[in-house]
Amino acid sequence: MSSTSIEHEDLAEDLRCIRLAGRLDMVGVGEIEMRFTSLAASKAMKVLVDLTGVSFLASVGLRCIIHSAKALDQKGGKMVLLLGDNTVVRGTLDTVGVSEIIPVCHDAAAAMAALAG
Amino acid sequence: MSCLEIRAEAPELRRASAWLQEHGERLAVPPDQIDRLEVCLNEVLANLLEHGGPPVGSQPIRLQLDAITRAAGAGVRLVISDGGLPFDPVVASDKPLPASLSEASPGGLGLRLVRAYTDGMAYRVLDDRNELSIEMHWTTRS
Repeated sequence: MSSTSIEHEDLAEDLRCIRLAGRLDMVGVGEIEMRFTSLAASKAMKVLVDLTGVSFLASVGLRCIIHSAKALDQKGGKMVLLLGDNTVVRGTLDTVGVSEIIPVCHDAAAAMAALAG
Repeated sequence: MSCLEIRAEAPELRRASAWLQEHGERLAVPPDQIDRLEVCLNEVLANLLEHGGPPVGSQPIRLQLDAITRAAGAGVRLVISDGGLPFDPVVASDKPLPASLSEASPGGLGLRLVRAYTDGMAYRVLDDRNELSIEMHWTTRS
């Protein structure tokens, strides 16, 4: 069973990419939540959250993402989710309506355009 | 029929997921259905850990996976039995979907996933234990 990982890269002063991979279940979220919140919602910036490597997404992972997206939004920043062809994660996001409130993109170019908009 | 007993601890959710994947494959459950059933199992167990109260930790959680006969429609039934505080997810109502990020609330997402991914759900209290049965079908009933 895959572990959970988090990496980030600052692409510009106000643009950050956070890559999550593995299982975003209760155990996995417990491992990355504090770091994710710190990276995603500490200041007003554009944040691309790359979920293409996420193999399992539970509601605890959704809560973590929504919580940071709201905090970022309140600070004047913006979060976009990058999925690639991750149909498992896409199905979960669509089912609970997250894709209606946080922009979801299939490729990096579209994600960058959504962040710029 | 396949059975597993787990403790009410977060790391046990992964043992339960591995068991479900292994035995779902043995029962020829289609991969996408196993993935959805795994989400449901994870949500039900996570809910138990968060809201089951002190009683849930005093007894093992029992899982049972059965194939449903073709006469009733090809499918699978997962039964989750626990000693936690009573909670009937069948009658619990879903919160409306948020219209904006500012309206989004963190609660109720797991139950919405379980409802969306299952074809049938039944709850009862048996011998002072909660018993939740969830079904999935991948062909129409004949």
